Amino acid sequence: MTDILKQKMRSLKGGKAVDYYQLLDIPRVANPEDIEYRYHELAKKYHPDRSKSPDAHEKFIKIKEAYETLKNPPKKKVYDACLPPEEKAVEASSEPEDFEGFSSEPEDFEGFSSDSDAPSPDSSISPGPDQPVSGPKGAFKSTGISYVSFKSDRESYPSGPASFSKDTGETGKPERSKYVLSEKSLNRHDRSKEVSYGSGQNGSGQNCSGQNGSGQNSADWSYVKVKYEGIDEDIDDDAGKKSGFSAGFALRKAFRYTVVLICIFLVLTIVSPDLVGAKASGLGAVTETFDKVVLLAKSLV
Amino acid sequence: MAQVRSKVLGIDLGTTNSCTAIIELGEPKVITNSEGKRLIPSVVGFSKKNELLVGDLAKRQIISNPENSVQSIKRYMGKPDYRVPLNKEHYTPHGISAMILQKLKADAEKYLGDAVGKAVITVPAYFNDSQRFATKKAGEMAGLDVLRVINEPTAAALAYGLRDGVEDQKILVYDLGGGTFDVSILKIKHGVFEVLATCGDTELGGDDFDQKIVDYLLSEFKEAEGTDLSENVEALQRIKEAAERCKIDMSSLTTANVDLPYISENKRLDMEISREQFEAMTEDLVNKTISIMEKSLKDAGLSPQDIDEVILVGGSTRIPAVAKRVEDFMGKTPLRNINPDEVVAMGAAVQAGILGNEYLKSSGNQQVDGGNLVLLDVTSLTLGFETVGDTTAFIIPRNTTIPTRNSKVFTTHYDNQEVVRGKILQGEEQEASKNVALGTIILENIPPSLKGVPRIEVTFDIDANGIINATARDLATGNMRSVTIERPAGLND
Repeated sequence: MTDILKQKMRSLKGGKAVDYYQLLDIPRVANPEDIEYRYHELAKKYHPDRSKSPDAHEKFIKIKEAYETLKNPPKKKVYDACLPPEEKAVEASSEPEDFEGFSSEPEDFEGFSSDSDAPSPDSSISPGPDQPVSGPKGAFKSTGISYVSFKSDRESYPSGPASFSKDTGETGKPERSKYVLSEKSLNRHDRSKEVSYGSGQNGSGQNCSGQNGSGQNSADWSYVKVKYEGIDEDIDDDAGKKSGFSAGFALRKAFRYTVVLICIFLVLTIVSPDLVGAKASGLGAVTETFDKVVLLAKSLV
Repeated sequence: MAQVRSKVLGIDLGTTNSCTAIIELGEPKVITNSEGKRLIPSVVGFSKKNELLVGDLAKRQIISNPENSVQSIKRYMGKPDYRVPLNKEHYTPHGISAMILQKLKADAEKYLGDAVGKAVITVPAYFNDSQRFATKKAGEMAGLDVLRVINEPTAAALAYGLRDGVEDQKILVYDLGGGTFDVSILKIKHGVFEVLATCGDTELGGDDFDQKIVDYLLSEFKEAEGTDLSENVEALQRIKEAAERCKIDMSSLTTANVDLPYISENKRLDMEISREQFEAMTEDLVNKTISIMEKSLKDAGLSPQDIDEVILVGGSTRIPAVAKRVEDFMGKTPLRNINPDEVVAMGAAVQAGILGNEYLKSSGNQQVDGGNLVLLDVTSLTLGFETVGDTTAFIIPRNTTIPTRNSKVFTTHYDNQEVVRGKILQGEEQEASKNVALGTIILENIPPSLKGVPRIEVTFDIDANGIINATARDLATGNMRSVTIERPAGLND
């Protein structure tokens, strides 16, 4: 249990979480043999004994952390439960509604959404409306955009503290204190940290896997707020990756707008088919219809 | 193009004997010294004519000139205040070790016909930070650029792992040297040597077995002749040597004889010791090693059946009772065709080859370049931070693969506390004062607030060289304090 907790501590610290599978470049369904093989390959490449690169130390530490989590079944279970959904496309059938499944698979817990490569919490949580939109098509590919999290529109969250709950998207100023595990006893004892581990671990380890709901009192997760204030200095090396992150967000936003538009279109089709034009087919017809929709909207206003 | 010969020495700086190896044609080769020996005794002395003697020459004069001879200096490595009186001067333990290394370097240069400036030196896995630092310092004093200080059992595993057909194995290295004992468990797979656990005792070795015989001889002699020889330096030295020889004899004989004429005035020490007697007196030492072995298996989460191969390293594993007990405990015959005295130096040479990306001959007799091998070693001692009430908060547990980093958050323990001060500790004890202090972190200018409110994050980082970096940061203000381990002044002489 302590191990699980420690792993959680590490992942959650400062709201940073890495997609270990992407880090090791393995599919999430990889078996232990594959994980080990991959780790060995990467160790030979990035261990400071092998690599003269100045960031070999950092790189190896990350790879090692990923492997140590994924090789240990209980840790892996907890980690997997907290993991954001995979940024992979599912094959689309003709019904547009099916696209919904893409962002809300049943096992898709909304875990921590950022990672150490995209650490700036504010940019990740509340993207401004001015974010570049690169078209819905891109949203179905994960190419080039790493570690992007998806936010679900669903109401039902496994309400563990490890989740970024959805209101963060609306407020834009997330309540950090919920997300990061701290040592409860900090507020009560000032002695050994071991003691605090012991006292904090009961619910929190399970919380993430959704067994314990929100039974956690906020004291356990209380230090994060402070942590975030201090974290800015140590993310300079990651700053360059922010743009990729925002782009990912824009994609998602664009996707959502598209879905909304389609819905409006469908409703209109049902309510007043003549307005839409039953014979409409092809792109021209669609734009024409769109114009009509806009006109209708204007007249309504 | 593969280089014929590497430029980096692998040195096993042992308690009783030292050995040097180098990669030649992709394989580690032990260097024969100017006297035709492959091992040199780790003894330093000054002759009566004030000449510096190292190795066999020094060992030979211990009896005639005990005040001017030093042996087993490795036992004192890293002790900042320890000084050896020698030739009217006082030397540090690493100063003495540097003399041994200088001799090894000179012998190697003679053998190779070329200057060598770099080395990988081995230390017991259970050496703490200051002991490792002192070893590195000794190398530098001898004019060597020490590329890496690596663990002895790990080195042995590296040398073993280059053999044919070694793939996907878990091995246990039982390393009982002259002065130290280590156990390491490794997994060798895909060219990666991953240490799973390491355990040991830096004050348990062949010397202790000798001492048991010495104690026995002294008490028997006192009983028979009524003379206590323990104050007689020269007699004691003779008995020590006889005891060591007696121990070695008993590896092949069932009874060994100690005959020392004129040991005191005209008295003669003439006794027989049987192997059973010897085994009875040293049983507790062997038991100690077995329980350490048990602990390391537990740390690795393995049972004896999970181990594919047991490797015995260090001269003391030639003691039949030791090999027998290991075999019984592991349920497996230890590997016989490995030279326990030389394998560590050979492994050090292999690590030198990996660091220098040299060509190494690996299993299947292929020439592989060092890039296909990597050693993932661990930190053998837990690192912690001192907190209120003499308690240790453990931050990096032992057997963590290095490089590594971990942190914990601490807070103040009284209102308006402005300074947080704590020692960086190495060791497994819950009581802070029982662990070895490596340095102190002081973080000042904490804004006044109620106790328990400030959040101070302490981060420890260990790099591939085992060098520890500690950082304390006030999470509210972002104030940071970085500490590289300060060494006691005594280690810098």
